[in-house]
This record gives sequence, C-alpha cells and structure tokens, in this order.
Amino acid sequence: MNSGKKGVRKMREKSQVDDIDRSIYDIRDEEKDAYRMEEGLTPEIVDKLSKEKDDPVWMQQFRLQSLQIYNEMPVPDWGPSIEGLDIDHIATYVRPNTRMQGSWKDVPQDIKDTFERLGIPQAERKSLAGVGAQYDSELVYHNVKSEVEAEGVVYTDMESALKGEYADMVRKYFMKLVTPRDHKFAALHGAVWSGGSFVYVPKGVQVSIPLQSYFRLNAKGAGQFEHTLIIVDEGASLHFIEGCSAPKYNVANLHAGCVELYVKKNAKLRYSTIENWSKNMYNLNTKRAVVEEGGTIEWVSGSFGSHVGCLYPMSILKGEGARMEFTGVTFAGKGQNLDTGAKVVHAAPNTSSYMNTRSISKGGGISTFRSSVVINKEAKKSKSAVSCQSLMLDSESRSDTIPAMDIRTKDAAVGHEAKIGSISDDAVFYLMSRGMSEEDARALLVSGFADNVSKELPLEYAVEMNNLIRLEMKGSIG
Amino acid sequence: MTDMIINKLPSKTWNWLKVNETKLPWDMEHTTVLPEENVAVKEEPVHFSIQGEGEYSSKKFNIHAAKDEQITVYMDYTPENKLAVYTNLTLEEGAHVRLIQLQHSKEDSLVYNTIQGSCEKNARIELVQVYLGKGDIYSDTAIDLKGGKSSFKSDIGYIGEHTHVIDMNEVVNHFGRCTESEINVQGSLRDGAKKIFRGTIDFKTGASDSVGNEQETVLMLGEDVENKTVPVILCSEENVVGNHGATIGELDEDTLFYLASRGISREQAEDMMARAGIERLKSLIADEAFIAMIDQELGGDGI
Repeated sequence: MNSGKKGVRKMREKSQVDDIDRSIYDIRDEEKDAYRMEEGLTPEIVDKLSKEKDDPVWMQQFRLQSLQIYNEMPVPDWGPSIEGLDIDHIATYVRPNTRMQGSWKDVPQDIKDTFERLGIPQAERKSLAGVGAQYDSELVYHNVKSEVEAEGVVYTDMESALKGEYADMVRKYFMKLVTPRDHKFAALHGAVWSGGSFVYVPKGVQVSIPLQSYFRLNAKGAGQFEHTLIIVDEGASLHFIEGCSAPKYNVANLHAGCVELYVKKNAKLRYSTIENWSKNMYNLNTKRAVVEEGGTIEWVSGSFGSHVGCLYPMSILKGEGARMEFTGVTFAGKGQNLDTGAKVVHAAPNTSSYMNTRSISKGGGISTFRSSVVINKEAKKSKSAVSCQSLMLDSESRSDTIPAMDIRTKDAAVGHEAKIGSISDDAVFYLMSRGMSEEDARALLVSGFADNVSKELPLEYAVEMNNLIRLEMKGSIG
Repeated sequence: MTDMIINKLPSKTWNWLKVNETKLPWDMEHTTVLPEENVAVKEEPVHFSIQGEGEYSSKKFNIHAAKDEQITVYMDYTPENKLAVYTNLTLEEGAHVRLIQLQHSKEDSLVYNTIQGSCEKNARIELVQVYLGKGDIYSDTAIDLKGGKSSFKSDIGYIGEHTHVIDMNEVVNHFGRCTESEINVQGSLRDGAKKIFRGTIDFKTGASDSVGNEQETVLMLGEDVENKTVPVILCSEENVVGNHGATIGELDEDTLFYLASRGISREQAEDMMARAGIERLKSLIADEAFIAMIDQELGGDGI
C-alpha cells in the first residue's frame, strides 16, 4: 500500500505538465472585417464609434460621459495585475463583414463554420428557445423560436432594442444597475459597448427551454464589449446561457462586457456562463442582478479561459424574501490568473443567499476566490451561507480565498466555510488499483470536485465543461 | 497628529468594504515612551500591568525564548488614555512562549496592541487575548512560522458594548514544513459596538504538509451592532490543508426556548452566552489572580 502511494508521488515528481489541446477554440478565421476602428481610446474614436452605430443622441452623450469617467478613475489597487493590458493597442470596435442574419445559411461560411465547430447551431436545434451569436463587435445571427415569441418574449440584439419598439425600456434600464462610476472598466464599457442581447419576459411567462448568447472574439488585439440586458417581469421565469471563446494570439485581447439583470416580483432567472476565452484575454466583465420581492436569481458560472479574469457577479436582494444562489467553478492553468467569486447585498427582510464554489489551480495558474456578503440593517431575518473549496494540483500554482462579510443586523444568520487542499494520494491510488491511469484518476477526481457546477448545467453544457476539465488535466501528472 | 495605517490585510479586496486597513490617528510627537522590557529565561510566569502615562504612551516588550526554554507572560492593560504596546516574540528551536493579554481599560481609552513573532524549528507560541475593556482596542498580530514543525495557537475572546471599536488583524505566515496554526475567535456585540476581524493564514512555498485552521463565532446582541469578518487563506504550496469557518448571528430560537424552559430569561441567556466565549478562555489560563481580574471585569456571578 505504502509503496503504491510512494509510486504516485514519484511519478508526480518526474512528470511534466503539457500544454493543453484547445484546437476547437483556437481556430482563427482570416480577418475580413467590414470595418475596424483604429486602436486606442479617445473622444474622437468614441464619437466615431457612436456615429458608426447610429446611436440616438442620449447614447452618444452617455458614451462620451463614460469616457470622461474612465479617464478620471484609477485602475483598481487590488486583484490581479493588468499591466499587460494597454488600451492604446486595443481596437474597441471590429465589425464583421455581415449584417445580423435570422438564418444560419445567410451567415458567411467562415463565421458559420466557426459557430458550427463550437456546436451552436446544433444546440439551437436540440435544446434552445433562441440563440444570439456575436462575432467580434456585432451580432451575426439572432433567432428566437416562434412559439416563444408568440408568448410575448422579446429576445433581440441590443442595437435593435435601443432604436426600436423597446427603446424607452432600454433607456430606462441601460447601465442603471452597473453605472459607469462603478469602476474603471464599467466606464470603459459605457464608452465603447457594442453588441449583446436584450431580453424581456412578460409577466407570468415561463420560458421552459433556455435562450443562449454566444460571444466569439476572432480579431487580434481587439476588445469585445457586449451588453446584456434582461428583464424578467413579475412571476415569469427564464434560463439564459452565455458562452464565450476566442482563439489565442500573442497580443492582449480585452473583454469588458456588462450584464444587467432585473428580476421582478416572484420572478426567477437562472444565468449560466461557460467562459472559455483564450489565454491572452483580459476578462474584466461586470454582472449584476437586482431581485425584487420573492424573486430568485441563480448564477451558474464556469471560468476556464482568459489570461487574467476578474469576475464577481453581484446580486442585490432588494425585495422581501428575495433569494440568490451562486454556483461556480474556476480552473486556472498555466499562465492564468483568475480572480472570481460573487457579491451579494441583502437589502430587505427574509432574504437568503448561498454561494457554493470550487477553484482548481494547476501548472502555475493562480485562482482566487473573492466574495462579499453584506447584510444591511433592514435585512432582518436574512440568511447567508458561503462554501468555497480550492484544490491545488501542484506547488507551482497558487490558490487564495478572500471572503468578506459585513453584517449590520443582529437578526441574521451567516455561515461561512472554506477549505484549501490537494488531491488525496489515497484516492488516486484507489482508482489506479481499479485499473485507471493516474492521469484519468486525477481527471476523474477533479471532475467530481467540480460536480457542483456540472450538475446545475443542461446536459450538453455539463458535458462541455467536463471535456474542458479533461483537456485541462491532460498531461497534468506533474 | 499622524494617521497610522494599521491592521493591513495582506491581500487587498474591494475598497468599498473598508476592510483593507485601518487609519488610526496618533500623536507621535506627544507620545510618552515607557521603558522597554526584555524578557528572557524565566522559570516563573512574568506579570506586567500597563496603565500608560499622559494622553499618548507606548511601551515595547522583547520576549526571547532560547532553545527549548518556556516562558509565560501575562499582560493586563488598564489605560485611561491611549496606549500602544509592541511585543516582539523571538523563539529559538524548541522554545515555547505563552502570552496572555487582558484589556480592561477605562471608558474613552484606546489600546493599540501589536505582536510580531517568529518561531524556529519545533517552537510554539500560544496566545490568549481577552478584550473586555470599555475603550477601543486595535490589535495587530503577525507570526512567522519559519522552522519545521513550529506552531501557533491563538484564542481571542471579546465583549463589545456601547460604541466600542474592536479592530483585529491576525496574520500567520507558514514558511516551514509541517507547521500548524489555529485561530479561534469568539465574542459578542451589544448596543452599537463595531468589530472587525481579519484573519489570514498564508501558506508560503515550501510549507508542505502544514495545516491552518481558523474559526470565528460572533454573537450579535444589539440593534446597532456592526460586524465585519474577513477570513483569508493564501496558498502557494500544494500539500497543505487550510480551513476557515465563521458563524455570525443571534441566539437561535430553539436555544432560547430551551433555556426559557429552564427558567432563564432572554436577557440572562444572552448574557450567559456572551460570557461563555470568555469562560472558555479562562480554562486556558493557569493564573488565579489573572482569572480573578477577568471575573471582576465581567461582573456578576454568572449563571
């Protein structure tokens, strides 16, 4: 028995960590942009972008105000370093050589092939109520099933929503939850946002199958700044899935999207994300939900890609009895610094929140779980529980947990637990004694460790997530 | 007056939470520096009562435990004004230091209590801190477990009342192999008391087979209390185990009902549970006179 365990340890000492196979995601299309904005960020560039997108006047002004805020705000003095990100070398707007289509056959072949490889049209046929596919700065495909549309569900691109029938609604809600003053990259988003989806689910409508938006950034040295605005009206429910990927380049790319979710009285929204950006990406995304009386927000989040990631979905439990659940897994491999977690503010009585996360670090990767739980004075009888577990797969890597709790009422119950550890040699040895290779045994144990997220995803996405873990674990005996 | 930046979190988080550090105004120019104390080999426990002098005063202790020596030091703080106490702990191989501190200072007083310690191979620090005073307490502890199999155990108990501030920061750096740390914090807050506890267990590269545990329990008893808890684990070593847990809230209804069925009122029950966190620490203190001081500060005869 002991010699077996020693064998495991010995193998680990001798082996090397290989690069992972990301061939599906790393295929680059030749850039045939219809339009590519010059690099950098100036009032002239923002103005030009606004004109290019034919913004209404208020949006033109909003963009310029946001730019001013961006220039005034400091870079955060906490979290991962973003020194490698030079906004002067980022093209903030790249329009592909097609307009948005309602049928895949009208999408240019190379772009269509990319989404085919990513499995988006197939998923749409099998298990989705609607799909939006963004390529660089604009949506190239958007479609929603007629039966969902017939129930009054609106699922469209942000640009159409901004100018069409829902213009007033968009103006009422756009960047009111995440304001440009929130942080520097929210201000950047306000200045140069492009693309994204607008969803409105009318009162009482239950959308039983998910909607999905997929964001693909193909252009080298570019930024993607899509805006997602979802309003789930009283008593309605929705599951929205967001996916993202990009091929790897040797220069920095930037993603600074923004997601604003409004969950009305007794409504329910599940927001699932599988993030698989390339490992030259700075993912500085902002997501926030406000939940009214009796409403529920559920976040399911898998973070696998990016060079640097800062992602902390925030929930504001504004109405009595509102609840939030966050389930997340983060896998930081070689060259990655992923700072992820969640924030919740309990601002009304009888609200509840639960965070359940897993972080895995491997091959020199850095993963940080960061959270905040704030229970305001008026949030009597509220409850919050946080559970975070981290797995270190080698000693080149790093794993930190930085949770914070700020409790301002005595009538609250708050629990927190965290654990950092490594894969048990006993478990690996047991699986190897049953005929598994060490690599497979470790991959299986890591998949099991991340089971909290995969079981919350639709089957296709759970399979994708497990495949990602398997890819990441390939050659991980080190 | 200078703003001292104290109680820094080793790894910053969101600034809006206001937990990254504390600014403590201090009049350096008018601080009375009290005589420094050097504590080395002592067979009997050493007692220090520190009251301070003038509006601002400071005092430094150097506690040096030579190889395989054991030292026990008791400190009790009863200042009427503002007092800063700096304690350096240096432990050579196999040394063992027990440091027991009691703050029972006067209303409107302030204590800034700093401990820095380092442990060589097989050395151990046991720290017991009891904060019962009517004044504010700022406490900053940093321990380096440098040598293999060195260890640190910290037990903190407090009762915060009125508008008192209890602001604590405890950092344990695990450098050596097979090092162990354990932090237990238990306290209660009444009225408008404000408390923040930052606890960091940092496993440095090379600290393989080390274990760190941190547990905090906060009993919230006042309508205007504020509690902040930041339990951090930093880890750059694979074969370690780090755990932290926190429980924050008021007495649950089941416990209250049970105690009520035994004739204990809500007020008595709350008082009893608040004292329980301190009673636990008394069992870690051998000195009867010191325990008597704690009992006197707690008042009453308990239940």
